[in-house]
Amino acid sequence: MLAKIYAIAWKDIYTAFKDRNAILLMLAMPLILSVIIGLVFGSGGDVSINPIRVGVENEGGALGAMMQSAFVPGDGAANADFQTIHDLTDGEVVTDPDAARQQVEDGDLTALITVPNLDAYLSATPPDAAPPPITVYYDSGSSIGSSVVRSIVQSIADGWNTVFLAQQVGTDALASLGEQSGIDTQNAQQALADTLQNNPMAVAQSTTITLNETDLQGETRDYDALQYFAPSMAILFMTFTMAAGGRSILNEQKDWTLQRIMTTATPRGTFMIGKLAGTYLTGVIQMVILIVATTVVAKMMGREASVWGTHYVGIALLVLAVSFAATSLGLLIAAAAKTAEQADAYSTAALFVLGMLGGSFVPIEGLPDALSWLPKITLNYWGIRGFFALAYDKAQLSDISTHLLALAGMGIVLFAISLWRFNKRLDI
Amino acid sequence: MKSIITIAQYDLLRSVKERESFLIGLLMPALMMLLLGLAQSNNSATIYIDVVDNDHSDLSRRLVALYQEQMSGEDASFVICPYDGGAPDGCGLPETITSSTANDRLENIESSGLLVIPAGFGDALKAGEDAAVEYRRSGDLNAPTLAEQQIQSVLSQMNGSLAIARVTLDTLPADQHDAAFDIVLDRADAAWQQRPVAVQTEATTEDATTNGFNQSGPGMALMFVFIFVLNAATMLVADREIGTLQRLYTLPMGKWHIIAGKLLGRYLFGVLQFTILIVVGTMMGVEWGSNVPGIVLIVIVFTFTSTALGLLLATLVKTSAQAGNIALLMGLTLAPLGGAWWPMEIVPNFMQIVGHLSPIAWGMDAFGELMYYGGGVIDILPQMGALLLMGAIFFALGVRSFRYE
Repeated sequence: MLAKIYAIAWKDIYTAFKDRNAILLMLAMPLILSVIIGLVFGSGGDVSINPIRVGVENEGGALGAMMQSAFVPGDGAANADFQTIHDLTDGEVVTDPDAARQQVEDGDLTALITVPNLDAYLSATPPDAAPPPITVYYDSGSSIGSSVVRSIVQSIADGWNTVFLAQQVGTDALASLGEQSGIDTQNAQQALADTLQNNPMAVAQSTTITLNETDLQGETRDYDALQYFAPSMAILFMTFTMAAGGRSILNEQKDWTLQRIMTTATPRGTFMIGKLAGTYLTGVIQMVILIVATTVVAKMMGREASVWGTHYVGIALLVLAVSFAATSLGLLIAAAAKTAEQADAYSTAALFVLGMLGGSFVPIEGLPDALSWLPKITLNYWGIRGFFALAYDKAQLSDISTHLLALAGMGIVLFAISLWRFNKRLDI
Repeated sequence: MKSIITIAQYDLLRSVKERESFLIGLLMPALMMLLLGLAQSNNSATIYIDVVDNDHSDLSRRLVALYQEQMSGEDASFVICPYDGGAPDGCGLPETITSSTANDRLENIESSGLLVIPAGFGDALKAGEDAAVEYRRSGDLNAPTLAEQQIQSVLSQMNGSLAIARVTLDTLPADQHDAAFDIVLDRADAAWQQRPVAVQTEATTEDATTNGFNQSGPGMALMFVFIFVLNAATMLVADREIGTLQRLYTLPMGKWHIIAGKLLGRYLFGVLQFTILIVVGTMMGVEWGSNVPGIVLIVIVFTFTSTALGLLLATLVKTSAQAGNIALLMGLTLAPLGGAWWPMEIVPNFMQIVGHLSPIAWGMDAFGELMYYGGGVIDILPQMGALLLMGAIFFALGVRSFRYE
């Protein structure tokens, strides 16, 4: 019996890896897509965007001058203070606000920043009227660039607020402290005013509390998009292979090969196990090849982070589990279809939608709360998350046990249903 | 001409009646448009941020309160979940919190981030020293950018208050610092409620940036129309494989009439598919722009380019299986390259140039003109010109190399 199972399985594996078309779908596509995604999203958590075009309309005053220095490189020492912003943006001074607004509307400028002259308002303590705001008119078609500009403007405004509030709050607080403890209020207030006058940037940019961003283990590590997208593409295209494997049973029935095999002394169970073993092993081999290939490609692209991680036992277990779940899914789709053509259409639709839902195309955790459970019904989700945890979070076996159990559970349930359906179908 | 139309009409009707066409051509793209749109809308899911305060000082509690006040409003998409009490029910914190609770919640994506305030945080700040707060993020890849921006923004305010306190205390003798610290800090915190310098933002198109459907709608519609119409190659090669084309050649009409009819049928189905997807997208909330002639022009021209590429592909492959796989490969690679999966603006410059080898990039650009910049037919002429040029080249090469037998 084992010899027959081996013969049937080996024939399917051999056929799959000898078929150029199958190779295109199984290996070339996920590899090409991984490379594209790797080129699009750099490593280190950075998204490399083009300099953001910003117009600054300075209506006079100190704040306007600072905003101009922040976005438009000049000759002064302020260049060093705002080097990071200069690297991100391509700023210009606006003299014709109407034309600049039109440029934003046409998408030629990402944002127009208008800074009113606030000197008169801010020199009065307390201010005698609410000063007009800084306005940022931004291009809605540039969601990322405009978000960066708004964030920078808010940060500069808050730095300015700090200086201004320090003057206001500090002066008041020193006055009331002077009454309580007898300190020389006037001298202290003068010292405060001098500090704010002489070195406002130091106060504005003061960062007493810093934010250290880390991963689950509390380590600072950069995220490489390939750690997510290499598994996501590999799993997506492996599910297509597995669906083709399930469909091959229908094709064999259509071509009368199955019926001919049934006339030999080959039990139906042996045939099914052989077919499934062949399909399953094809998926496992496909995953292994893609793991090796994407690792090599990542190295060639100069990526430092390990795309799949170094927990080889965890990787192996996930490959086995995700291939099993995908084999069962492919079998279920084939069992649900009446013809091979129908199975082809069902599998394309189902695998695309499940891939999207499971995050194979883009991470999809942003679904509304009521639908947030949906990705968890897909094998793509558990597979991608498991591999990502191993690579990015340096997870241990215990950390991916839920993923393995979910995949194994899915595999068993889908396998049982499809075997039951198929057993009925194979009555000749 | 009549014979071309008859063949086109037959092929179109056959495609419309096929259940597979409905499933793959319409239902699947509509579902994907919906899922991607929901996921890319900035305001769809609630993001839970856990907070572990290992310091239990006045200053650490002040920071936690500030986060709750600034980030957990009624309509906010963030919920702050402090482990020391005061966490809203939605956080779903377990009754017994162990040392592994926070990391377990992160791993299971029950929370998207974890703020850890270390012991000694308050003492360091009071002594005029710097301190750090740790932010651990989960594998929820959508959450970090949004959450980190907000967390950093609140921290900036706390830093502002501390800067005010520090610069004020520096004017006092050292023995007065302890007594004065809380007084100045309280006043500074209160003063932030009325920022003297405010920032007001205005978008060219209202709400356009938070509507994920504006990315997923055109992206999925273009990708699936492209893949479906490109499969004209599969149809032509399959007809040649099973002898349908050869049988049709026996009819009293030119061979090119037959091919033109078949291509026209697929083209018309593509136009129909595109139109239905635009209607479905509109029902989901995609803002396609108000210029209907512009939208119609994109549909007509983009589908033409895809059909012409389908014809060219049919000349390059030997079997229908090969055609189907290559059509899928081209669709799935040219779609992300062309900005169908994510906005082109996050792509490096050289990839933007490479991406414009994809017809989908020109389609996305044209839709962008209509959707974000109030453009019309004149504004999208450059994109349409590029698509027409591509289509003409593909068509000429396809006609020249097509093997009728």
